[in-house]
Amino acid sequence: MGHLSLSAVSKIYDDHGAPVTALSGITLDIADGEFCAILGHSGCGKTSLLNMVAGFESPTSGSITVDRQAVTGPGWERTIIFQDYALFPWANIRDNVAFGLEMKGVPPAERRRIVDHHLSLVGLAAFAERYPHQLSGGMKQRVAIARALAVQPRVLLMDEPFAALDDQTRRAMQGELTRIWQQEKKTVVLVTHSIDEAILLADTVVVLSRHPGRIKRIVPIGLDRPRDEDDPAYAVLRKELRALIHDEADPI
Amino acid sequence: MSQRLIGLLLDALWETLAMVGVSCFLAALVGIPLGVVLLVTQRGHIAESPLFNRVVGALVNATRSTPFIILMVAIIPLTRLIVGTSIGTWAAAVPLTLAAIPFVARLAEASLREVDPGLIEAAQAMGATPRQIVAKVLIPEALPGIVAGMTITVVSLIGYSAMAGAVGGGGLGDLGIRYGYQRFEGEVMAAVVVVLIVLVSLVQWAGDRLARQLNKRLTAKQAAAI
Repeated sequence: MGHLSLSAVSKIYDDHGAPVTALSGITLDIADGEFCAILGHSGCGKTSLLNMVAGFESPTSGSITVDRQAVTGPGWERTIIFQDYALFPWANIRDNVAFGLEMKGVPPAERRRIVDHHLSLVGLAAFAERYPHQLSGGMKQRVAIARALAVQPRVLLMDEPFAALDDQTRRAMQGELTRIWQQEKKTVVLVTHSIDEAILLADTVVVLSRHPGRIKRIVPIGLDRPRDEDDPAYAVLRKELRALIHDEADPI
Repeated sequence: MSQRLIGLLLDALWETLAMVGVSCFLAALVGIPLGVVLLVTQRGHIAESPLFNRVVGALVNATRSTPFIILMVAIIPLTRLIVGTSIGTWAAAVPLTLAAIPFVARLAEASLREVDPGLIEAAQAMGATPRQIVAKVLIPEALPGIVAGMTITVVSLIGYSAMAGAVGGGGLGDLGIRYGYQRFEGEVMAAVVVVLIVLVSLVQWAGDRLARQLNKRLTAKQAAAI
């Protein structure tokens, strides 16, 4: 379960009376269990796209469905992970991960079992009683992943999740995400501006153009996981994506 | 210090504590939920209702802009209705409460507004209803700020309560005016001021301490220093 479908989705913002088209004619089918990366420069509307799938904003026209059910607002079947983690600072790690389950009304014993499972999944079983400020950035993002997965969403949304991390931590987290995704088999939509992140993680990369944001190309990544940057096929994909993205860069 | 002065001070202190305690408790009971309502009914927030928000906001502003001494006299009929008389310590608690409610509401609203919108979005994406977001995200996250706001309220009300002498409310301020100013007993005035300074310092110290203990973002080192 977790088939996400966008049909002719457009988003027009009102900029002090002047309409600005952020996204136009986005039609996209993401299969159950597929890892999809949305790649584009800042200002291509990729975050707007994710916000609409999350239900925080509604499309100006077009429709978004998850397993044929229309998206009308935020809900647990589409959890989201932000760049700045958005953990609850007053709650310890266990309570953070349990939050969505509590909202769903899952009984305490069951809640505990699910939380323990997800804390082990992200490798933080020993940190259950700590508070967010006691953890490093990478660990905080692991908590956010555990929290988002604990409610058993159909689709996991990620908005530049590793952009705030240092290079080494980011690579480690990309490896972790691949491992977790292979274990959990969730549909994932990840927004990123990093070509390498898209190739390392995704089954398909959706390249967006700018002004307005449209789908420029959908590039399937057929490489085996874990992916190797020294693989010649990897280099070919990187070159292709770089050329697609390069056209969109602002003249400096 | 004479036995008489100590007796006067203790009586006045008790009256002040009773007036301020009761009005702060009631003001928190009404004002904090009112602050929540003022925030969440705003356009674009979790329970938006712009018209309702404007009406409540206008009422709060109107009460806040009325000078306390005028408010106290203006609501004498209401005070009579509630406590049966318009004179005395309990009668003074009515205008104090009424003045404190919008004050608390605005302070609570300001603290609640500081809550990271990302936390609200994260909670929404996990299926939290507006009611759950208020109880499980907004209030816990804003609690240190709300406690700091209540401390400010208590200190302000100690000041306002001095005016309650005008309706025979008694209290430290009243004692200071009647003995210190009208009877030229400088010793009483000085004693009242000292008691007020100690009282306000104690309230501020306790409020700061509680607010810091509630703030889970502190590092262990800072927490140990409290």
